[in-house]
Amino acid sequence: MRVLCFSSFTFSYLNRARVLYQSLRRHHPDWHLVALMTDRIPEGMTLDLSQEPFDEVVWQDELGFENVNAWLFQHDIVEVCTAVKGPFIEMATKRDFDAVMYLDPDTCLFNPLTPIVELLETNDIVLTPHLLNPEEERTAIIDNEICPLWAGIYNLGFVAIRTTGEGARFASWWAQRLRDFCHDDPAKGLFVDQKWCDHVPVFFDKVHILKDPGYNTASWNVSQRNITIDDNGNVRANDGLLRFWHFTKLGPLGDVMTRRYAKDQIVVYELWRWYREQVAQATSAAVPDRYWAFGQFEDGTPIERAHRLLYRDRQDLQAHFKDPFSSDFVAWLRAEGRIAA
Amino acid sequence: MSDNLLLSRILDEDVAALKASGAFDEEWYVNEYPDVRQSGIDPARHYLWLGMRLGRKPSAGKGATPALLAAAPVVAAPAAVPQPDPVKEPTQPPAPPAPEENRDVGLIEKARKLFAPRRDKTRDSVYDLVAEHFDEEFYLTTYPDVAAAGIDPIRHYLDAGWHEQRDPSLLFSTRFYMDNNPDVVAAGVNPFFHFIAAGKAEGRHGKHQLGFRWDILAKLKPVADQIAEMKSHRGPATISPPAMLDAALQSGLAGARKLVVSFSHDDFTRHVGGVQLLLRRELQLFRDLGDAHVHLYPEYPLPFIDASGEAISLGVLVNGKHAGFHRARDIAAVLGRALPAGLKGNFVIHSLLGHNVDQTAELLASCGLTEGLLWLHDYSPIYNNFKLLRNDVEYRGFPREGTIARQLCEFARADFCHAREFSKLFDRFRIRLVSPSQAALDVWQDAGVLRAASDHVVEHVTLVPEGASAASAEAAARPLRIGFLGYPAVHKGWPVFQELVLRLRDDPRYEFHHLGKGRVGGLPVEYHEVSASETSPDAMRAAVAAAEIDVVLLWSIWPETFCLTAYEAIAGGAFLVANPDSGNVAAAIAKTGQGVILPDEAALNAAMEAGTLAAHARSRRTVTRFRMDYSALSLELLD
Repeated sequence: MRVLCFSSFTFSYLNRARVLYQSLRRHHPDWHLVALMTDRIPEGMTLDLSQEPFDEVVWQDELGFENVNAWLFQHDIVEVCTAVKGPFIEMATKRDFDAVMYLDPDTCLFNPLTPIVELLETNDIVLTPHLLNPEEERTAIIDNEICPLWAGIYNLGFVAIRTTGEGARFASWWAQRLRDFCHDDPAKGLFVDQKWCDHVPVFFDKVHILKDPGYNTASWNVSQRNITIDDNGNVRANDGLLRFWHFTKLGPLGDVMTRRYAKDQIVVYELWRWYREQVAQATSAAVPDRYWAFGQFEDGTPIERAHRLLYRDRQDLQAHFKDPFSSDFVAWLRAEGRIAA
Repeated sequence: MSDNLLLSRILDEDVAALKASGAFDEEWYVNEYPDVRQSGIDPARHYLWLGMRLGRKPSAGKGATPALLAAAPVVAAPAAVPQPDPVKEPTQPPAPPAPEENRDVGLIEKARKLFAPRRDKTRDSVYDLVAEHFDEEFYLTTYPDVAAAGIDPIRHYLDAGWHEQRDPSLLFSTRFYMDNNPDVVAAGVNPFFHFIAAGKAEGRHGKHQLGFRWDILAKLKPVADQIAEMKSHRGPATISPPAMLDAALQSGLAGARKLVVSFSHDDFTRHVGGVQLLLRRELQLFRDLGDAHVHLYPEYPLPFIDASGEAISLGVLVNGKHAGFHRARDIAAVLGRALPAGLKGNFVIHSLLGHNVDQTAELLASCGLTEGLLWLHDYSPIYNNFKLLRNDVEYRGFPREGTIARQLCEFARADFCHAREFSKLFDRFRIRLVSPSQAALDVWQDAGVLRAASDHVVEHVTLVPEGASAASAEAAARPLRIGFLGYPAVHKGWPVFQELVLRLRDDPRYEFHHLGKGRVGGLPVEYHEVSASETSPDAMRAAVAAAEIDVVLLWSIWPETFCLTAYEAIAGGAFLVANPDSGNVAAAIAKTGQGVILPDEAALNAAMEAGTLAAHARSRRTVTRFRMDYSALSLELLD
């Protein structure tokens, strides 16, 4: 099966993505690896594909948007990096591949994903739920059971589809929704690209809900998974192999959640320790801290989320300011008192 | 409570009186209580000021009180020292001991005043509540600088200690509580006080629930940093005059039947430990045969091969006598010159930790040695972590190339590889492998990293049954005595023992004992100082039998290559409890039937809670006693 595998990220996550792609290269050297980037190359940096662990970069302006800047401005960094997954996955179904797989840039493979490819022999869509079993402790119920009720049952740090049939139909539907409604707005029932997929098992056939604890293991489900090193030196999640880990929130917050739910599972901390080192090694000094090309207006004024929401809601502004990053729009916001003078 | 603890209140004349009394054994005291040496306080002064308050003994085997009362009445017996009561109003101190026990009642009065609580300074609710839960012994033994400063430990904790993230007891981690309760930090409240007063009831934890392995991992540094740190504490290398070595070799080699050049990680004549005792025995056996014994050890020990290429300063022992510190190439030159023509020799490598393999190989070659033995006392020849522990936390078989276990391991990421270093020796010399147990040899052979000319098992000790005695009825009636033997080291499972003690401290079914060295403060454990020597190699076995220890918890987390302690426990009549990863400990249980192997710590806890361990240990109608027969070590193969 010809597989295209992609991740979506900005330069701030290039280090994590490199670790993911290295693990993909190791386990699946024959897969075509695409970096879907919503950003611009930082000044002074060169992105040399021959030195990167992926085969191709696709930029935001290659996704077929008529006015990509206007669309992009309406999203914050999380919204836009999840939104581009839709248009790209739809494009990918039209290329010369049998399957397309998405993995978040902060995931990493520890064993091959071959069983997914096998599942795609008979299924068109594979999703991984956040949680496989009910929780028992109150805190865990709040963190791990209630959270998916508003954020989405399935974690869209992973999805795999066939490029034909229901897979293709899903890709078109998802792309269309994400172009218009990839918003972080739980009060309106929206949580970026993820909440949408609660519809998938109903809207589409040939959907496989993967309940193997070896996939998409993270702090939100590790309390139900026993992570060990076996006698062969391999890492296991319960009775099977650990396939990939979702290293969500690299930093103090992630550490707190990991400690809360991994408890005394020492291998979990060893995995994190290793991952932290790998990310450090994969970090380019040329990428400024917290860099994102679309985090500020052309003149350097930081863009607030309120500016994005205003532009998203007001069609008159969209019609008047074709490029919302421009200094014209900054001047207007300033005149309106929406940017401090 | 604060002023009465001042070290400065201990009078010189009282210290002198104690020393002159003969009741105080300074050497014994500092060995028994290692924190005393760290504190830098004169041991006798330490005893008067603090040791006595902690119920410590002034010398081995004697009750502290009577001898001291006669000799140093000012400090008197603990009964005469009113213990400060932080909760109740001070009451009249109890009457002094009967006059016949004291030569100077005036001095007793003085002592009473010295130690009387000063309520005016301590009347505060935070102090009082903290004092109820504070473990003074733990605090003063864990932080010898506080002990040295001679200040009230509770006051120290309240004023400074918690800001320095020191812990008030084994049950509470200041740092953990502050890290996990930002509201407490923001409120500026003493975290231990908050925990006792409110946090505990609110369901907050006083220390992390992540297990001792998490602590090890959190502190683990990359190997290069570990080595750099260890080397930064070293003094300059000592280089003795070559003539010193020359003279020692001239006389040491004269008339020798054979030459034995041996290697280990430290000076076995000065340090005490299992391998060191074996080496002393082995030296004697070689000497008895008329062999010349030249032993080399690094002046500064290191838990790794030293692959830096720096010239190592090696201590040389010629027939057990110190012959100075020298570079390997100088030793080779002097030894080469001193060797009588035709004297044949072998080498015996007990350990090359701290040595450099290239320098070792050159030295052996220049002495004309071509074959020898390599002992598998640990796994340093095949892995950078000599205990074969991944990240120093877990053993799951040999971490093979290309596996995740190896990828995750900090030790495998070093810029050197022990196996590669040792392969240089295996390529150049005929090396026979000697394993102290079949269990360790199995690990070596399974790893398949290095191939010796031949593999042998020579057990240091074999257990010979010496009949059985009926299990005493008394023993069945009292709490089950659970013992930990030896130094409280992590890889020997001390943290597992400690957790059991802390959890079951109030369980009337159990009684906990620590037999060995390195007393740990703040634990409700009966401590028995036991230290083996050539003259009393049997000390631990005898101590286990004398203390009537029912169960010995030997929760080694690494595959022990031998573990004399396991044999001593069995020979002393105890029932062993171990895990399946403990190498020869598990093998010894399987072989003798004198114990049980539990799959993991959860199973151990469950067995303790359910009382099944007691049932196991006491289901033995008879207790088999064993004699320990010592082997001839390297001589089993060399002669």
